[in-house]
Amino acid sequence: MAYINLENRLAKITDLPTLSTVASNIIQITQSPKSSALEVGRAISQDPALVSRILRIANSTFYGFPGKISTIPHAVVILGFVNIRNLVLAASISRIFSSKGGDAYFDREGFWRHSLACGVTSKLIAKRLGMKNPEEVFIWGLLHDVGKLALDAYFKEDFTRVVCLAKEKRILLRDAEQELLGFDHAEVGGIVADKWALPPALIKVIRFHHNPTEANESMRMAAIVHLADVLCRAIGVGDGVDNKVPCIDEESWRLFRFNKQTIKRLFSEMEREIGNAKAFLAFVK
Amino acid sequence: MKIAPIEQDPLFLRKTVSDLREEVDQLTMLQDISKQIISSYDFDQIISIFLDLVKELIGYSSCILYLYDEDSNSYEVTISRGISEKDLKGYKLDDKIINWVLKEGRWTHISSPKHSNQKDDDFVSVLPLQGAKRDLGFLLIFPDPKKNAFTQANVKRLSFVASQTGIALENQGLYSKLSHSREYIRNILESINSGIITIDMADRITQINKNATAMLGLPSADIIGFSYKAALAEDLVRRIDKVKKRTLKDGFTIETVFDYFPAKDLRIPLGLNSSLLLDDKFNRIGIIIVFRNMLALKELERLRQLDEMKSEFVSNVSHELRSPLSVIKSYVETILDQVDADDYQTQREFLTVVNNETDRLTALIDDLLDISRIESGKFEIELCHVALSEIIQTVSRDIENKSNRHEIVVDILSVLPDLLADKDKMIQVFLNLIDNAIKFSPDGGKVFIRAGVKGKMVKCDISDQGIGITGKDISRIFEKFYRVDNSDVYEIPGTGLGLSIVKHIIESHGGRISVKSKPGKGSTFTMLLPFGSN
Repeated sequence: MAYINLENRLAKITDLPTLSTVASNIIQITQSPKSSALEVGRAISQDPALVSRILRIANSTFYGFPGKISTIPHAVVILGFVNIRNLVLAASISRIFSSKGGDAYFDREGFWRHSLACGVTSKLIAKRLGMKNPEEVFIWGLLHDVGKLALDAYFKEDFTRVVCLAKEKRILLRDAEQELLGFDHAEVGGIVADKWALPPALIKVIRFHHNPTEANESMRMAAIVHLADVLCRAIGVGDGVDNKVPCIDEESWRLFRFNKQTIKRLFSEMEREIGNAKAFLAFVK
Repeated sequence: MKIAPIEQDPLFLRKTVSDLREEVDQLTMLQDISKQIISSYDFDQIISIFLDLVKELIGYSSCILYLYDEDSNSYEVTISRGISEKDLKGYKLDDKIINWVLKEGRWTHISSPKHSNQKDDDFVSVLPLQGAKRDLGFLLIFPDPKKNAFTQANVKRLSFVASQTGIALENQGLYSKLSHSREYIRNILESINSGIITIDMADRITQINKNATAMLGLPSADIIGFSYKAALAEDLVRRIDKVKKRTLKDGFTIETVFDYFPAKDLRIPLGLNSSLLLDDKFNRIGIIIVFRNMLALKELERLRQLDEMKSEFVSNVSHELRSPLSVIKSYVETILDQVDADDYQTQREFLTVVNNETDRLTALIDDLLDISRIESGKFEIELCHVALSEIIQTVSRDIENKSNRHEIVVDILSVLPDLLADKDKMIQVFLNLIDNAIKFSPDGGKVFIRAGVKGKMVKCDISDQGIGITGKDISRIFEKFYRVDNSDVYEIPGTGLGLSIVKHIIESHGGRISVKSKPGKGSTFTMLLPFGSN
């Protein structure tokens, strides 16, 4: 009931933005297995502002490549398709919301800091699980809360009430959302991501990062980001709204077979990597 | 600038779907092929399949495989293709970039390592090889410039092939480590002086070393996997049955010694002990049985005793030499200083003692010389026809003067054939035996000398009624230096040489000597000497 309600409301927003054409094209191109570095480079080169943003971050400490990356094709072969696609997506999405929303109620910088920490942590968890494409996982963490941006930008009044309620009652933002709106930012994010035709895995993660078990076959993906979210809050990198540490979903926790020692090690890796990721914060702001 | 969206382009979409389908097919095929890599434990084969697959996928012009070398703590060239030795040496890799690629863990194009023959903007690619926990190395690929190899699909495929190869190499490393350590333990097992057999809980033999095979006289060590009940001799099986029962109950058994007959006329005394084998969770997994060949141990014990006897001999001989000398010295001194010059009676008495002691010394030194001759093989006998009665009479007359508490009873067959013997040596034998008979009858008594014929031999017994010899000593009294230890009861002097010389003399005449005795009742020495031939 609430979901249909939400879709109707979102549909009514005429100016719900679309992703930039370059970003959409990159998503498409990188979904095709035969796409080459040259094609990706050509697609990005159509947006000179994006080119310079990407080259700046590519040469930053965030990637730490011990050499100079001077062209986009060069960046593609060194950073890989996934990293480049991540950069294009993050740049495009952050640009969409840079002009709308963000005020005393909703701290944009805090939002990105938490998102970035989740991205970094998700990547660390993926590495620990032995996944071969941890970069893919980074974007899941980075964009998992994109629904909040949409709420902040297009349901400003409702969202301000939600934020106030969460702060006042010291409850989780998503509980406040459910209480006042009947839906939460994960659902909103899911719909927006679907509209943008983001990669299917990313859509699932955004939609189910609070309740991975409902993601069915994509449970493990959602669970990674869910755990990263909780761990980031545990070390004090919350989203700037509730700063509460929710319970870890038990089934997700069992999936990883992590023990105390692993978590301890993860915490120390997180401290280091989140520190290294500052350069990325400038990229999305 | 107007950027055309491609999402609605039907051609693009169709191509993407068909590409994706092809991709799935390729990955499926790749998975099947890579099973060859994963299932191989042969290093060269793994590498060769890996390089072939990479070539098939992206068509390189040449490549160099670097693997981590623990000894040098760096990545060393392991194999190269399509590159000359000389060119190989020319490459200088940028460690920082290599380390970065390994940390990122994905196939990456980098600027070519500087080489005199190449242009500056050439690219090479680095494909990391990673195991479960560590970096194993990387493949430096010089791509075919005509091909556009850096596509998403190739990134995925190469990453798949590399990860399979990484796992295979790691497994291969573990496997070779395992076989090394198995070989090492095998070497230890084979180097141990004992025979070792291990059995599992189902009675199957799981290990057997060569020593065990030899000790147990098994035709081959090829009985691993068989039940010991079927593979070993019956009496051994019974023993192991017992040992197994005890071991399962107590965790071990202490060594027991038994005679084992690996072949019909071969007897080996074997020591056997055992303990329980446990795995790391303390579950019983079998029993280890250790055999020791006690023959070698016994020989060692004999040598040790011989050594002990020799030191005792030196101390005995010194004592035997010293006591007559001190007697001689003190009597001569008394004669010189205290006996009146005209007291011939006392002088004569004392000089007799000196004379006897001198004889004792001479006899002792003769014994030592004899032994030394026997040892050096220079002991010779001069044979002539001798009547035994003549020898016995000479000897018993000689002895009778020595003791008045002993009676010598001679009983000789009147028609005794002559012996072919060395007369002096024979006198020595009888003197020695009769002297012993008297010496070991400290309370007096009769000494019987009986002689008769047995077959073609003259049989002669010399019996006493003395202290006798215990069973423990009786088998050893003819050994050189051996002395019956009865010092706590009787103080009987001797060097432990007499009987050994006697035995040697008799045997060099082709005869035999034996002894029977009852402690406290007396001993009988029996000689058998061949007739002198006519």
